This record gives sequence, structure tokens and C-alpha cells, in this order.
Amino acid sequence: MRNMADAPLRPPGALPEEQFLATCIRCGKCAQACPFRAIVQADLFDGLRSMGTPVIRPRQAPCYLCLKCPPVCPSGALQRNLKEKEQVRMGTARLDTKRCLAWQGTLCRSCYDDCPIFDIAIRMDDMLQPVVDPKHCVGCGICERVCPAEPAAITVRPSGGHKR
Amino acid sequence: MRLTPLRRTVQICLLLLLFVVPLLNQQDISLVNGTLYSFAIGPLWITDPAIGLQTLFTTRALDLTLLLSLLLPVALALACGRVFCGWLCPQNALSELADAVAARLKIRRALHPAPTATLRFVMLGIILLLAAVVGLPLVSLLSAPGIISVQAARLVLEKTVGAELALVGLIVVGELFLVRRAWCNFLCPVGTVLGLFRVRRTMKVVFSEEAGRHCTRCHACAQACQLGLDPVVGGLYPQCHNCGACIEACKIDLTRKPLYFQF
Amino acid sequence: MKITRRQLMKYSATMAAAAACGFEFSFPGQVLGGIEADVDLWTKGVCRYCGAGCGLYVGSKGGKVTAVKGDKENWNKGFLCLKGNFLPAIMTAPDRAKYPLLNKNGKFVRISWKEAMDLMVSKFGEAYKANPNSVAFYGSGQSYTEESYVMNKLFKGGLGTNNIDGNPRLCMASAAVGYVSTFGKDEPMGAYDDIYHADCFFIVGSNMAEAHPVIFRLLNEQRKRNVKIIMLDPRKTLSAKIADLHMSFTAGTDLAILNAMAHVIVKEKLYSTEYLDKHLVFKKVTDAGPPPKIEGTSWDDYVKFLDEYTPEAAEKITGCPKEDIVKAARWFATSKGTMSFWCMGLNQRTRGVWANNLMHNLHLLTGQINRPGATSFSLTGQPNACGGVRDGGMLSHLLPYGRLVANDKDREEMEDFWGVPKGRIQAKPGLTSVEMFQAFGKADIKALWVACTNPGQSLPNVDAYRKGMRRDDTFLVVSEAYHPTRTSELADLVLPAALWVEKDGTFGQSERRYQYVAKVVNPPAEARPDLDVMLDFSRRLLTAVGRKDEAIKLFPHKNSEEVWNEIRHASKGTAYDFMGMTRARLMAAHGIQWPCPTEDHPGTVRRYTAKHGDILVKQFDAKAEDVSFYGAKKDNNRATVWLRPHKGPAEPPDAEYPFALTTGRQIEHWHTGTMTLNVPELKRSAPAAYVEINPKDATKLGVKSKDKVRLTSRRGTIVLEAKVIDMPREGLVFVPMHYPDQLINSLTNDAFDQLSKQPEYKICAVKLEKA
Repeated sequence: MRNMADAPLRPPGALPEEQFLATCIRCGKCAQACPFRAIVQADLFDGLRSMGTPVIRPRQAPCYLCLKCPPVCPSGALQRNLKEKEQVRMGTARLDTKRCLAWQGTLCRSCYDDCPIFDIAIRMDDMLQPVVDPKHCVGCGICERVCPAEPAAITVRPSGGHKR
Repeated sequence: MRLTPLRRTVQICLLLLLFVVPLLNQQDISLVNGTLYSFAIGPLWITDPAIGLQTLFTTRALDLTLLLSLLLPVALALACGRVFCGWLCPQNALSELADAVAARLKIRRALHPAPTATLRFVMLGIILLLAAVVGLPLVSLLSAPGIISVQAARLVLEKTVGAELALVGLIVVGELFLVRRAWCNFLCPVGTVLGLFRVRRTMKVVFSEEAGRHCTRCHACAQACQLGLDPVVGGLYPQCHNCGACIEACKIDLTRKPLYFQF
Repeated sequence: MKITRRQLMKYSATMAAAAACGFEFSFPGQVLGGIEADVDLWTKGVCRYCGAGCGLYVGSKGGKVTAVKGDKENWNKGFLCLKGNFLPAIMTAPDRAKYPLLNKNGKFVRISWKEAMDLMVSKFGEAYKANPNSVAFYGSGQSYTEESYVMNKLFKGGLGTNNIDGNPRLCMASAAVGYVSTFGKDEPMGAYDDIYHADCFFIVGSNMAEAHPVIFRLLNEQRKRNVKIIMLDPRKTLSAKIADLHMSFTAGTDLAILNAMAHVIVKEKLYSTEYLDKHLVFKKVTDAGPPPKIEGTSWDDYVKFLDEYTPEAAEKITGCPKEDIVKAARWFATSKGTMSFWCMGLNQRTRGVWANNLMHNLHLLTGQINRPGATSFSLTGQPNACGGVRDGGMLSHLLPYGRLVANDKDREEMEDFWGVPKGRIQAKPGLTSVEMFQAFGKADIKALWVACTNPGQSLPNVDAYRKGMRRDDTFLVVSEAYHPTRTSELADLVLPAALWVEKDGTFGQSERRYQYVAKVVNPPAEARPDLDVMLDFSRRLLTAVGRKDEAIKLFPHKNSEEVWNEIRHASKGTAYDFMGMTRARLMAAHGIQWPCPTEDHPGTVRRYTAKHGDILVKQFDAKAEDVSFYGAKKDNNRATVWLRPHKGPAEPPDAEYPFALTTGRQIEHWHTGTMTLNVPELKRSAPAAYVEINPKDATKLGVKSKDKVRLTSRRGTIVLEAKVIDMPREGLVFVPMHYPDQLINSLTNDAFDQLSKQPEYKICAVKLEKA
């Protein structure tokens, strides 16, 4: 059985990874529906099993939670009834405090500023350092995109699909 | 209008649409969106029946939206047979072009098997079972029209193409040097599934008994068929694409030709 | 929102444990990919960006700037913000200006420095000879003090025209005039050090978390001391998030709140009788003029004046709950030490000077001033607006170090000092920034030199002025480190300038701290330090207009140190007196705060108080016991409490334009983005402008985040991506100012404060529709 933790970052509403791989017909409609070109189709290097499936690479282009993709999925690999961005469970952001500029003394708040679940999924603690709240983080990856550190100090760990 | 020019026009239009639709999507014009796996015109959803069947096997579940999106293509197949293959499929267009090139260059194929439906049904069965076991949509990976349409869209939107396109390359090379029109004739799962939807009133090429008296057995019709079928002999289905090449090739000039489409 | 003791203990324990395990909290120079290895030499310097003026070390190797790290021994304790951290990238950006460029019918053609100088001298000379007031210089709070001083000397002393002004007119003029009209002399009397002693922080119109992040950090750390933080801002900014009391109000109505707070202080007798008796006078304007007719008045008159500013009345005008106003007044007055901060929210207003006066009023009334933790502190935006332009007197009405062109004695002093004939310096103040560009647009000014600033993006109602800058019959020279910018693209002549540590000089930041920035690397190609070009030009121009002997006499300087020595002498004996700040001392120190009259003087943390170390108190006011506002000699060394009525903005929202637009900053970028948008990490973080819309307003408009929205004011229109967020108040929208491709200043209002001539960027009326 494939390890869920190895799943790539899927568009919002994706079924659990095994089910997703079986249900997705690799039609590309979700990639075409994405106004931000965030959804791309995986290539051979992502593995034969994932080839052609939609993935999101946040550092290049994160999901902006417009939720235009789930309704277009013909096979239901993306659950079409996903309506609210707070319900999204693409993954969870993880902050590496050793790489994060704010945790290392340089004032930065880019991830906090741009998080779409503003002031809830990422909060600034009393020392003005960002802290992720896994209960509310939807895993869109905007934080990963805007992080000025190179490589990004905050990255999204894919959830392996909505268990819904 | 004569059949072949009409068909060519339709084929070219579809090839253009494969690029124009994603270009329009890029400009936020999304009335038409999707690929030849599944596309939508406004609220009307259309999915390739082979894909629908495959998903049934891989998910072992019924998705109502998916099922509803199969209605139109199935209806079209029931009404007109495998016209998708003959008139729309980009792989078919590509293979016809390759075949014309091969003819011009006088390439001789290695094998010459007779067109038969058995192999393709066996192939379909194996693919579906394998898909169910492995949990992967193998038909998608073997749908040449799907692959071509997706990669065209990716070229427009992402400025890149995927390794899936290798299948198309293999098909073209195989058909140039090994077996003429091998994919459409023997292997393609998309056409196989479409060919299942055949009833008495499905449009077919008919060789009329009465007009047959005027047939000079010139074999122009058989020669025109790239799939190696002979309308005079019969047994055209489920192989025939209803492309009409044979009808057009027939030189008999009667009020009613010996070959014609009939429902 | 305080740190609980438990949290503090947990944090301390973690830190201690981490330290015990040998885990160091290293600073960015060490953490990000082993940058230490890329440095051969660390040179002490100052950040190029905001007026906080963080000390840092510049790391270099092989003639390139490769790293920065904070200076732990400076006031910022080694902390830098995001922008400072990425400074190295700005030096080698691909659009660095490398060669002098001549604009030939829209195409920029490379020419030699000789050709450029010849052309410039000839154009300025020609214009000057026809009319001495038809030449002008528009300088910058980002130039070194030495550079601004030389230009000031050339124009006012050498050429005898006062048409020299600087971009601090657009950001700090109201604060400067506020300080001068209240205290007699410009600049804050306190220091960042007061942060450690204050018990109450009163922050108005300033988003410190994004605009002055390191100062904000120090302030935030004080929360472990149970301090009270009050924030006045119509936006629920990231700064406001730490406030104990966030007071939101209709944009532009804060004067009513400040007067209402004074009303409460007076009514509840929370004022300082000592200050009332010994240190205050009261003034009001009886006739608006211009010029305004000022009269001294009494405490009783002031109390009567405040009668109408009850908290209830203020709530009606401003929408701010009266309970909050009362609470704020009480906290302000009764804390052991109250420190206030403010910035553009109060300065960039048509009543900016009045707003500044009202802030000072609160401190003066309550005696919350002139001791550790009690002070009224205006935050400065640019790294050298204070040092070079305000202190150095490079504004059209000023002379160096607290002197005015309108004052006969001051003019004589400078004419003597500079060695120019009596009567050379004009008494009438010259054109201020907005007026200057208006005049240039009408060809009243024929030759204009713009250095180290970007008015083609930053002027309010910018399209009108951009049009004016393109005339065929005027000559515009732009000295810039980058090309093209929104200004250099309009120039007739572009001069490539050395950037930051490619030249050396002095910066003076918000808290009167002067710091030396050393040269670390050479400028690229033919770019030259502005000082070189300015000295060269000054000598040549004076020669060209027949003042050859003055050319050498006025500008004998061979390097920036020689200019600095002259500058020190210019400050001698004034309220600024930093004669003791030799270049050698500045090179060794981590900044020194003026006054610093002698070489053994350590610098002055707090002014106007003898008890807390201002040596000039005794010098200027021998009879003073402790506090003396010696800058206000005419008022017997007393500060002025001004009776300023409430007045709203020049262009409030109305039926046709129902939203208020305010512009401001993001932490990732600085000013017009010519430097920060060249840093890939910062550009990726914040690539484009957007408009912040309150969720309730967004719902009514049918707008979601990332939808395109059209904003229109009476002056211009722009399409921006929406960011729906509970930050601006209902009826208010916010747009960041940094983006050259999205000129929000096409919409802003160029109405300006009649006293300071500073424009009202912060409020204009717009309408919104989905695009």
C-alpha cells in the first residue's frame, strides 16, 4: 500500500490518495480550470502511477482557494461539493524554525500576511514569530510561495487526501 | 458536399480546437473546456465511454455525474456508429496521414494480419481487469485521442508536454513499419468500447443487393479503406469507422450508388 | 494581549535549554546557507532603508557585497528586518545605471561624463542668467548629509536662490513644522531608549510592524513589563494586533479624538500644574490669512476652547467609542511614562501640522515629556531625512541647523560662514516640492536636478506632474542608481549614481543618531558618488555664471570628510551642536546622538532636560533647573500648546466617491520599490499591488479576494486585485505604494497643508466597482 505521506500536493477536494489515483482519469480539466495555473499535470519523474494526474507545486504557484477545480472533475476524484475554503484539507504547512528568518531574528511576516485563513492558520506569537495552527491550515501553499528564505522555511506537507 | 472533403474539414477543425480551446480558457473564456477524455460545453458534460467504463472498474463505484456524461457519446455511437473514430479522433487523423505518407514512400509493412475484432475485445478485457486490480486508469494511459488532446492543452497552458506522448510516437512508428493502421484496427480501447454500441438502426455502410448487380468488382472501395475492410464482402463492423471513404471511392454513377450510409 | 508569566518562563526555559545544548540563535549572516564563508571583510555601516536606521555590518568579498548582519552593539541589538537582510542583491541588480544617458527623442543614448557635465552646466547657466529663480534642485532624505549640504550651499549661498527642496517635504514636513511651532526647534527630544522605560505607548497613524519593524520589535518586547499599548488607526493593522486598546475611527477625523483626550485630561484634572506654571504658553490663530495671524492666549481660553470636544461629540464626529477616548486619556495621563509614536497617518494630511501640535499638547499638558519613558516621538521614513534635509536645512525655507531664510540674523550668519556677500541669501522662502513641480510643469522653472528620489512615481496626483516633466522647453536631470525608474524615464539627462556603500557619508535617523556609512565596494562602470558630481557641478556652474573665485572658495572639498568637517562647524553654537562628532569618532562609534558639542561628549539621549543629560540646557538657559525648551527663546524657553480646532480631510468620501482611499506600506518593500523589487525573494513575496477591502464592503460589491476591482478618484483610475480582509474599516480601502507598474498616486490628492506644504496622501475619495 502506498504511503499516504508520500502523496504529492493534490488540488482541493482530492480523494484519499489511493482512491484518487484510481478515480482520476487524467483528463486535465482541473488544470485547465485553474485561473492561476497552479494545477499542473505530473510528469514521468513524478512516477508512473502519478503521471498525468494534477499536482500543485506551491513554490512555483500555490493554490489560491478559488475552488473552481472541484466542480469540473468528471469522475469525482475531486469532490465536487467542496464549497468553503476552510473545509479544504490539502495538507498542512510546516515551519522550519532554523530556516525561518523571523525565528532567527530577522523580522519577517510574509507568510502570516498572505495566509488566506488570515490570523488563524498562521499566527504571530508574542515574539513576532509565525506559528502554524494545524487545525486550521488548509495546505494551500501560499506561505511556501511567498517565504523569502531560500529554500522556503515553510512548506506544505500533503495530507494524502480528504477523508470525507 | 463530397464526403472526404467534409470529413477532412471536420478533422482539421477538431485538431485546431485542441489548441484553440485552451487558448480561450487562458483568456477566461471557458464556455468550452476539457479534453477528449472529458469535456464540457457550458452545462453539457461529455465523457469518453471507454473512460467511463474504466472508472467503473477502477473505483468499483457509480458516480452519477460521470454516468450522465456518458449519455451523449453513447447516443451518438448508437445512432451513427464509430463516427468519432472516423471523423473526430486526432489519432485517426494522424494515422491516416502517416498511412498516406507510407503509401507515397512505398513503405512495406512487416506483418499483414486480417482485421479482426477478437484481439481488441481481449485487449479491452485485459486492460479493464488489470486496471481494477492495480487501481490505476490504464485506459486513460492508452487513449491516444485523450493523450493528444491533453498534451495539446498542456503545450498551450504549461508550455510543456508529457512522456505520455510517447505512445503516439510508438503508434505512428508501429503503423509505418509493422502493421498498417494497427492501433485503430486491433488495439485502441476507445474505439473498442464505442463499437460495442451497435444496434440494428445504427448507421452503417450498406452494399445494396439490387445495386450490386451494377458493381464491376473494381475493388476501388476496398482499396480506399485504410483499415483493410471490403464493403462488398461485408463484415465491416465493429471495425468500420463510417468514414465514407469507400462510398466516395465507388465509381459507379447511378441515381443510387451501390454503397451508401443507412440507419 | 500580554505575555503570561507562564509563557515567559516557558520561553526562557526553552532558550536556556537551547543555549545549554550549544544551539545558538545566530543572526542571518550566519544562518542562511553559510554566508560567513562568503565574507572576507565586515564593515560597519547602516541599513539603506527606513528612518529607524538599524546598524549593521556589510560583508564583502572580491569587491562585491555578499552579506549583511545586524550590529549587536547598536540600538537595534543586531536585529534587522526582512528588507535589510536582503540588501546585497540591490547592488548588482540588472537595471543599475552605468553610464550618463541623453534622451534623444525618446531614446536614451550613452554619452560621456564630460558631455553630460558640459550640457548640464550650460543648461543651468543659461536658465540662471535669464532668471536666477528658474533653476531648482529636488533632493532626497536618502542622500548623505554631505551631499544635501553641498547642494544647499550651492543654491542658497552660491547662486542665491531658495528653489531647493527635498522629498521629506512629502513625508516629514508636517512633523518638522509641528516640532518647530511647538518647541521652537525641530526633531524629537527623546530616543528609542525611552521604549525601555515607558509604561504606556500611544501610537497614532503608524503601522510600525510593517514600516519600522525593528523599532516595533523592541516595543513588542516591552509587553513582558505589563505596559499599556494604545493604537489609533482606521485599519486593524498588524501593529494594532498587539494593542491593549485599538481605536478605529473615520479616516481623517483624529484631530477630534486628540482634542477630546485633552478635554478629558483637563476635566479630570490629570494635567501637570508644574508644566502649566513653568513650561507652557498658549497660542491660537485668529485669522487664517495667509499668513496666519497668531496670538498668545491663556489657559482659561484653552479650557473653554476644549469645551466642545467632549468624548460624546468626538464619538459623533469620528465613530470612535467615547469610552475608549476616556480610557486612552486616562492611561496616557496617569502612566508612569507615556511615549507616543506617529508617522504618515498624521503627517500626510492637510492638517498635518495641527495633528502634530495636538500630539505634543497631550504630552505637554500631562508632563509626559522630558524624562525616560515619556516623550513625543515622530517616526521618520527615510534614512537621512532628519540628518541631511531637516537638520541640514535643505528645504526651501530653511538654512542649516535650525536657521530660517526669513530670519535676518540667520541669513547673515550663514553668509558669513560661507563667505558669500551680504544679501546673497534670499529672504523669501523658495518653492516647496509640489509647488516646484507645478512650476516646472509651467516652465517657470527651466532647469531642474532631481537626485536620489522618484517623484515620477511618488508625487500625489502624479499624472499631472509627469506630464509637466516631459516638456520640450525645460531640462530635467535625474541622478539615479537605477534606470529606468518612473522618473528617469522622463529625464533629459540621466546621471548614473553610486549606491549605498559604494560611497561614504553620514546618515541621521529618527532619534538624532548620526552614523557613518563607509564605502565598501566600487560603483559599477561609470557610476559616480553624487557628492563628486555635485562638487564638480557646483564649481563649474559658479564659474559659468561669473563667480569663479567663489567656485573654489565655496567648494574646496576633496572628499566627504572635508565636507563633514565644515558641516560640524555649521552646527557649532546652535541647538544641534555636534561639533564633537568628528569623522573618526563616528567611524568608531555605533552612532552618536546630537547634541554633542565637544569631542569628549558622549552624545545626548534626551534633550531639553538637564537632569537627564542635555548639556545645552545650561548653555542656552542658565536659570533653568531641569527642563528648558531653549529652542523657543521668543517664548521664554516655553513650549506652545496650540489651540487647533478639528478639521477633516480635504476630500472626504461623498455620494459619488463613497470610499476613502489610503496608501501605505508593506514590510517586503520600501518606498517606490526601485531597490526592493530588484530582490527576487522580496519580489516573489510581494509581487504586485492590491486593494484591501473590508469583508462587509466586499460582500456589498460582490467582490472576492483575487477579483479585479477598478478604483477611480477625481484624478485617475486603476485596476487592482482585491484582497478581502478584515483590516481596513468599512468605507476605507488601502493600497500599497511601492509598485511602478501600478501607480496608485494617479488617484491620490495633491492638496497640501498650508503650513508645511505636505500633501494629503492618506485620504482621498474613490469609487469601487468590479472590473
